[in-house]
Amino acid sequence: MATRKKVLLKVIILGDSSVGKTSLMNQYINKKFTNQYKATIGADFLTKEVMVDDRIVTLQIWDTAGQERFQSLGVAFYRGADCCVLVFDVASPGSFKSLDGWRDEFLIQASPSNPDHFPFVVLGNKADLENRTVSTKRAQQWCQNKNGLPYFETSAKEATNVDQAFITIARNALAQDTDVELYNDFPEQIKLSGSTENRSSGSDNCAC
Amino acid sequence: MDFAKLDEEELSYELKTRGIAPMNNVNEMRNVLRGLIKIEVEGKSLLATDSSVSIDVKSEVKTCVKKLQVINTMVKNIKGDRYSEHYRAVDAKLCHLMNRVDKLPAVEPQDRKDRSNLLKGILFLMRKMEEMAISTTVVETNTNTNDNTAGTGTVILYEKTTITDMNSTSENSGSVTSDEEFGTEYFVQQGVAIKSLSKLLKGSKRHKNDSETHYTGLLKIMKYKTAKFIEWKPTEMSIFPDADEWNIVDTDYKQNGKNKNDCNIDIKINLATMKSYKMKKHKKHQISILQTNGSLVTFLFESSPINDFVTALKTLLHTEKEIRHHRPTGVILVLSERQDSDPLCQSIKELKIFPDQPPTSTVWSFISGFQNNPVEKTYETFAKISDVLLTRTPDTRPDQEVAELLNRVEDDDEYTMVDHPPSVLPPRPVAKPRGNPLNQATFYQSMDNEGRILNPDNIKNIIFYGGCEHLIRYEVWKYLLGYYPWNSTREQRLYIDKLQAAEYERMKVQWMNMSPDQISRFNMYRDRKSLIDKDVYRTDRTLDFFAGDGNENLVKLHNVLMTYVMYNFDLGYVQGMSDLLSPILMIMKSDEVESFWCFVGFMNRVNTNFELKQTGMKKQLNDLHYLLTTVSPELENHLKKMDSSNMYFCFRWLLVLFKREFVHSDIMRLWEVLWTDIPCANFHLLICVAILDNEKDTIINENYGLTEILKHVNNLCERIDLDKALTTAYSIYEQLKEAQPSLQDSVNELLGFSLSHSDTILSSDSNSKEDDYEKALLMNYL
Ligand SMILES: Nc1nc2c(ncn2[C@@H]2O[C@H](COP(=O)(O)OP(=O)(O)OP(=O)(O)O)[C@@H](O)[C@H]2O)c(=O)[nH]1
Ligand SMILES: [Mg+2]
Repeated sequence: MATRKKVLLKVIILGDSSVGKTSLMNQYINKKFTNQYKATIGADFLTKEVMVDDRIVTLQIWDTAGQERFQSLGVAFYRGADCCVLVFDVASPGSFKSLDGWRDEFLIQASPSNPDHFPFVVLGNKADLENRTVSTKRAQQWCQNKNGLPYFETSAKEATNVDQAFITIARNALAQDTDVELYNDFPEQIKLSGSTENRSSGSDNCAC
Repeated sequence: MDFAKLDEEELSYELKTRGIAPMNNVNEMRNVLRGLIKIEVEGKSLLATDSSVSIDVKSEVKTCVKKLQVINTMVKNIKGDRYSEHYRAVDAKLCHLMNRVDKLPAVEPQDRKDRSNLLKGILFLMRKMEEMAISTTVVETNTNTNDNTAGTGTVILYEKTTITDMNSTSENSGSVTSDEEFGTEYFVQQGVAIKSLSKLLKGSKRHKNDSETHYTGLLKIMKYKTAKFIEWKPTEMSIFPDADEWNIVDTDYKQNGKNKNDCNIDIKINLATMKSYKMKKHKKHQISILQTNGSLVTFLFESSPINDFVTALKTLLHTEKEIRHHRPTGVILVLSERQDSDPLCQSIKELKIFPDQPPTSTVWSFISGFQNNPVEKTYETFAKISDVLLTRTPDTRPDQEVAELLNRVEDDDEYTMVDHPPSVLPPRPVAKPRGNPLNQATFYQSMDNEGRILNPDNIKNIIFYGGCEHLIRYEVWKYLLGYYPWNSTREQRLYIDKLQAAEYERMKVQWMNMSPDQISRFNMYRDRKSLIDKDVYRTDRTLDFFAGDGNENLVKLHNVLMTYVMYNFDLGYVQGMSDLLSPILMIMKSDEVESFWCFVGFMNRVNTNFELKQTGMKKQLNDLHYLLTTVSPELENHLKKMDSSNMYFCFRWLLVLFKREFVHSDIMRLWEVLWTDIPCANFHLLICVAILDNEKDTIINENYGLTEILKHVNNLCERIDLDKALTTAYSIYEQLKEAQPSLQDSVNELLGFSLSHSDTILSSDSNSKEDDYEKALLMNYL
């Protein structure tokens, strides 16, 4: 596998509507924030070349719609992901609760070969807001319980921690990529029906 | 070779192998090549192959395999006749590839094997190409054909005795022989029937269920010392039930007073006297050959040998399609016989190198690839690939290796060879330019004294073709969105305003009066409200109308959406709805009541898009796929190959009716067209097809995969030419309408074509619906 030279890394950003997925992606890639972004409909991606430990890799960052009913569309693009970014809004406990659901949904749909070690990165966005309701500690706890996922508190608005978070995302994606043969591990798309149920039952398990 | 059909890489190759450095400009390359080919054709120069060009075998094989696959896809999509652009493109590409594979410096066993497989693949595609073209060639017969056959009615029979100089030879024609005296066989086919209708006399009626007598026999093309002939000799006689209504005079044996079973009749047609021929498929494949003296003979074939026969004819004759009114009539005019020195004729002779391998389909198909490219296909080529010819592939299916070759793709693609039923659509009518928008004068003049719009269909028609002047959108949209019935009087409209304002207030108060305490126990409401709160701040903020903090219009947007939640709580609020409301709010000058009811009208049309289960979206994506398969099978094929036939990349288009794809001024123009429901309720799907059709070449030529397709489509945002999309969509509609009887039921249903009087049913249907609606509405009020 070491000889395989794949430099394209696919990253999926998931999280409830309005947590700031589109803003984060644009802050990272275009270095700007505006309140003129529209709610995402469908799916889109942006690419960026980055250096990760002396290797040039192309990040293909996928942004999908957060509203639950549009998820059946998003999953079509989960296939072959190298890393999954889970985003919540530190001022929205609901969006934090949803993380479990997003994670489960991703694992079911993308069915990576090694689900226990698939690289997720968790971002608590809008850290610039005064009225935050999800404490850092609670978020860290959750990440700890999931095999110690990396956690960042970011602000797409003020560009805090965004680059750092994405460097970790790229590094973890690359690590993942070196020991997983893409696509071959995803023989069949799992049927969609019941996926939303999965999501809500997943969030019941949430510790909060 | 038609150089216009080759791409840059292919052109460079053709130049390089002729020792010429490729230029930057594609057209220049084409011109140079055209010049070269002319020289070659005229025999002024031999193939100037530049052997010094070094070719990396491995990568060249790879390139060729790729090209073969591309052509394979193209072949599968051949429709219409052999003169279609598409067919000629396939033909040109195959010729190029043939040339190229031929030049592969294959030394190593593996390379040789690759080359041999490539050649097999090419042969297979050549054959398939012929088949696709013929099986989809529908040649209509009409009385014009009769006019065309100057001197119709003279039925010429060639009996043995009629051709004196061949008299002695034809007796032996059954045996394969190269003897000059006995002639050389170019084509042999058993079981070809000849048509014999009771003689068509002017004015006499032929009964529909008359049986037809068909004589089955042996068909050949023979070359003798002085001339070449199509010969046919009966072997048995069979009666077919009436085969068709082909009403052109045919050879009639009875007229000679001979017994039906008389087998002593030969038909001989000197190729030099052939004037034209025409193919037709009707239960059986048939070819009618018209001679200069006006006689016409029709042969009936089982499907595949007719390809071989036609191919053989083409290698022996210079032909040209007949064009009338800028369209091919399906008649192939014979210009002249090819000289024996013509490489094509030579190549046929060359085949005789294998006397125990009589020419069969594969060989003939192979030759067919040469027809446009005589010089490059010298017999050298032939000699080189003879090993391939000898290990002939089965007739219609590719053998294992070829199939593998065609299917060999990059690692992770799951490309399956799925054959599509080719659909034959008539040519697309030229798109009509858009008309003038509905103006104020016309609109108000269309009302009677009491303010009823007298002819709503007329108004809708104007809007469909040209939209609506901005000034009167404020009025017109209320009709289009069902807030005002078309036949309402001024007085009734005032009443509606009053009534609907009260109704709006009533629902608005419901959510405005909700206490925080109440909300705390009303989860579903809270979720809906929070989504609206978030989306209002993300709706069209780049437009002045919604720009800036504390903009009053954001509050209005919010209020209308919240009231809609109360109006239709089950559906609630779903992302995308704010996009639909925003232009309406702008046109309605921020009037909440009017905006609300117009929005309700719009939502009534599209609410299934927002259902939780997404059934409406899935159906539309599915329907779109159906239409695309019909209109643009090449593209559909590519999408399938790229795992994109779920059409997800059109999701945004459909969910919010292109709201995100066009700038504000265009979206108003587009929506008012859609709201007319002209020409059918699914016109927006045809717009999708039109836009995709416009991108077809890019998507296919660039070989875009799943992600690139999505990206490409997303990037069309605000770059689509709306007028072009609308006019193209309409001409696609007309094209499909013409093809309606042959379309699948599902497509007909989508486009509102019903099998009888589609027009009247369509309009009366929508009228009655409207009437009902209006009645209901007015009854409520009065
Ligand atoms: N204060 C603050 N606001 C933010 C930040 N990031 C995003 N926002 C705002 O949050 C809202 C939602 O941001 P988006 O990036 O559109 O959210 P999303 O996750 O892409 O939402 P969907 O596309 O609906 O799934 C917008 O109004 C942003 O301006 C942040 O870091 N700080
Ligand atoms: Mg977004």
